[in-house]
Amino acid sequence: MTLFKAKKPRIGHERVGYLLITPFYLFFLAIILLPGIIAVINSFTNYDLYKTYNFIGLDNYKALLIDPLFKKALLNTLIYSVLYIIPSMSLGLLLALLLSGEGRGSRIFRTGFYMPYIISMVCASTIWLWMFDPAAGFLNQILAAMGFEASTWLKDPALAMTCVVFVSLWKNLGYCMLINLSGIKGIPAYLYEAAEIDGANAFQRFKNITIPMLQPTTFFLFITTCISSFNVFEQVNVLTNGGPMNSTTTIVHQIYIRGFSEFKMGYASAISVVLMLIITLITAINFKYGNQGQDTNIG
Amino acid sequence: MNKIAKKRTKRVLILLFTTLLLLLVLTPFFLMVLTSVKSLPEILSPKFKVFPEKWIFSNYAEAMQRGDWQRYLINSLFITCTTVVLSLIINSLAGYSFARVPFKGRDSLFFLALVGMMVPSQVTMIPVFIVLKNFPFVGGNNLFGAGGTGLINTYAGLILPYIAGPFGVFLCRQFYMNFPASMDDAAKIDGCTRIAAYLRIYLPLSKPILATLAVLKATQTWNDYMWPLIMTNKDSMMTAQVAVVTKFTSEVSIQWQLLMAATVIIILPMFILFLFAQKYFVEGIVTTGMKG
Amino acid sequence: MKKNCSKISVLLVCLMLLGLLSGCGNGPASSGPQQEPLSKEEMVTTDSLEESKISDEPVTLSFIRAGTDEHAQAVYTELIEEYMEDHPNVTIEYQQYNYGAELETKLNTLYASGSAPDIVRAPISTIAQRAEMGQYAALDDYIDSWAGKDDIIQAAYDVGSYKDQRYGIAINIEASFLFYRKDHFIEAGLDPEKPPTTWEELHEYAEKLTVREGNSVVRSGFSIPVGQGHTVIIPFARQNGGQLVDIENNIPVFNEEQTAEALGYLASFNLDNLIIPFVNNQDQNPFELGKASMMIGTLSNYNTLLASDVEWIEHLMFAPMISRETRSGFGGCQIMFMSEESKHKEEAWDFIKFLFSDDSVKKLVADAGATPVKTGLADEFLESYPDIGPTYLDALTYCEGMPKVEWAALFEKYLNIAYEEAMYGQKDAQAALDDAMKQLEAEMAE
Repeated sequence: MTLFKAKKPRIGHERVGYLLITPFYLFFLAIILLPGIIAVINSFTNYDLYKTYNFIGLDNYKALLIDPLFKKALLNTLIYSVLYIIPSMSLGLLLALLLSGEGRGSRIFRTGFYMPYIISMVCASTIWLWMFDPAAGFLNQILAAMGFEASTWLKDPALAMTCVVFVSLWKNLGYCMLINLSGIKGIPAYLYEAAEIDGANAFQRFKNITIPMLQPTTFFLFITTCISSFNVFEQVNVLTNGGPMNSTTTIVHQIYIRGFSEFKMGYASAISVVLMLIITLITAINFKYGNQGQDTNIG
Repeated sequence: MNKIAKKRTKRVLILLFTTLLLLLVLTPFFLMVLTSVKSLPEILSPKFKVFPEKWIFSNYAEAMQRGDWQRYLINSLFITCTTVVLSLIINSLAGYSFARVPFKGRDSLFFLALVGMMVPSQVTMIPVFIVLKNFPFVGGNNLFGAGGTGLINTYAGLILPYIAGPFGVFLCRQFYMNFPASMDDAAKIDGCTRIAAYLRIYLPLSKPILATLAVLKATQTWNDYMWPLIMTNKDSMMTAQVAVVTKFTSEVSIQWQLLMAATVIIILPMFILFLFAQKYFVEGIVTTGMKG
Repeated sequence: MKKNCSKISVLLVCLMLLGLLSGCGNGPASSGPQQEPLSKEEMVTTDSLEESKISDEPVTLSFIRAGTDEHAQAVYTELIEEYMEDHPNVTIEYQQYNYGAELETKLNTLYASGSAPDIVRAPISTIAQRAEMGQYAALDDYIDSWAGKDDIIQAAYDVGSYKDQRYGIAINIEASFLFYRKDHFIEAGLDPEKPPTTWEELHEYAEKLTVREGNSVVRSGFSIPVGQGHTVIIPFARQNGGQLVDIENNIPVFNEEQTAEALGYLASFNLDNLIIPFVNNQDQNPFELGKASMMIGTLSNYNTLLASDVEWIEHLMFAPMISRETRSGFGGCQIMFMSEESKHKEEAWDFIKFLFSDDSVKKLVADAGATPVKTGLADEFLESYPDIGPTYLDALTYCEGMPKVEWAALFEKYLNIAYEEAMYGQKDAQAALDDAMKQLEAEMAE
């Protein structure tokens, strides 16, 4: 029984590692990295999705700086992110705390809250489009039955973004709940028992045990939610198509419009490079401050 | 005794709160199902009634007659299953490697994979389409990928983009990072190679993460709409999701009753899958989510 | 033990490769529901002069249609089957997509990757762009040598031309005009035989016809969209004498006084609380849901109402578009194009000609609600559509579509931004148009 192969391997460098990642990396290179690099190169051209393809240097980026629609999209995306991240994380946490039991009741509730997550965003947006319809939609019917004024929901510039956020919340609530649930399940029970013996009430236990122990989960959820917020597109596309009056257009929505409706693929690629830089920054922060798999259990 | 009463009141209130919230969350689903058995004039009438006058179950049959739904569902099923199986193998191997096997440049390669996730698909769509179309030696293409249609309108062309994503690798890596180093040491002492260690030690313990990955990948693939729209232009290759979007909406009207019926039908597989995997799901995320 | 480990790893890799290879196989061989067994027979044609150019080799044509209306789909499928029976060496692959993003994405992908469809039936909106980019083929030579060219109405050629070249022939012209509800008119004390003919009348009637509950409109007097309203502002601007674009100098001029006046007029319908808000091409018009008394509609809307089996169909009446200085209505069209990159242009042209044959057009008119684009078919059309026919044929004479400039997409985008801003009362019409002009000019300068 030998511990070494014919050639003595360097400690800390086992080439079998490359072998194991090769299948994934090959596909990754062909389908993600290569087209990604092409997209970055395209951002320096005036590619129009057909035969025009000339290098124009930084012209696209210069145009970006003064593009009012891009600025609006950036602002909308930030508004969306704030409006979405805070409720989804807090509600997700609340539900996880309430439903962390083992009983069948908890299981049923968990399934119920998770349901919206398993349907596609296109399906969800279609259903909500119908619910929000000013003329025949369910919500206005209910309001009328209760004696309130109908609203124009997605057609109201002041309300449209809130409606889009609401649909996202509805859809992803179960997922946030589930992630928080897993975090809570990882907290050792004896910590709570010890605190209770020491006379801590529910709120103090929550503040001093639950929150700190959940920190890795919370951070993970926060970063991934941030990234998906910045990438929001499908619900905007189906529910409002960026309107009314561009109050719901987002960065990726602009990429789509510029690239596919206006034949300005070079410009759209430039927008996507900027988006990519923003997200990379967020992820880099996560890598610096977030956990990298170190076990944070006390004791 | 006061304390017990207080506790009971608290429990009742919590139950009330969560039940109300649940009803709110599930209301759109109820409406969807109810709409799917109404007639179109009834849906379009100014007067709204929750329950249909006549329960028209034939909407389901009618919806399934708009196009070759058997084909569409089989397409979606085949693509999803193949994607899941291939993803499980490829992603877990890579995740294990990134987590447990030391090699030069490992962390940089991993970060690069992560960065690749950040370019939005809208701009990579066309380059990917061109790459797949000019894939050498398939679909009538020669060595330089010219002459034929490559992987367009093929199952492979639809599956490849789904298995190339780094999310599954990320998930698995986080999972495998949680094992203590002593496990690798023990394996080494026993004379196992890395691959053997994976197969004999890690894989048996990977049930939670594999189940989680399977469900996530299945959902993502089954629900995708954009790629199949672009990658196929034959009716026989259409997937269920694309069919739902295109078959019931015309330029002037939307057949709501058929649209809802079809939507209910394509939600069912994911619902069943989730019920089945719920046990693994909660277990699985227990180990990955917390550790960041 | 090591040997076992390495054997297993080899097995694993082989399994992976097998999985990949099996996935690499082509999808099912059939190319659509209308696949017919091919046989090499002599073609039987009537127009022998032109047939000499067409080969006997098996040819596959791809045909993409904008629009997913099921009646039209049924007719096109039938026509395709008929054509393939007569031409056994030709296989036509037919695909249809919804207007807007779906169609444009599909077309863009195909053109960008060199897989241009042979035949396209597309709306007029992108003709200028795609003709300018060279995606559509110029059809002048084909049309000039066509025996049946004079049977097509001139309008069908006009809408399909760009810079004096004909790129497509319209197979369907959606002229729009006024739809209204007789029963609502009577209810409001208006005479259904006297529909509105001027701007003032239209507004007056709308006020009388609008029903509200509290402050919300539950039945709109005159239903126009709050968003994507270019098909409304364009005809009303033209009615008022507006030009919208200066074709000769190739610049937009839509911030002119006449257009601003028209936009202000349209905005008053929302500001006076006379409409239920909806977005054109995204939501259904409340009129079709029975929640409006008047709207601007086309033949397709009529067919949809028939198909939806609405109970109030007998109260539907039609009137010509409003006029002010001139009468003008919006004319969307469906145009048959051929791709410049097509490898089978002769065969594609042959199929296009077939679609314009008398029999085909008759079928499209009768079953798909298409318009009679051939002279001499007007009588048959009126027989199929006695109620709406006369108004429609009349509307053909004064309808006009989008201005045909290569920056049409941008023109539409900025006009719609101004439209929305005015409708919501965010800016007054002239200011909205001025701002939109500035932004359009800035973007065009790049």
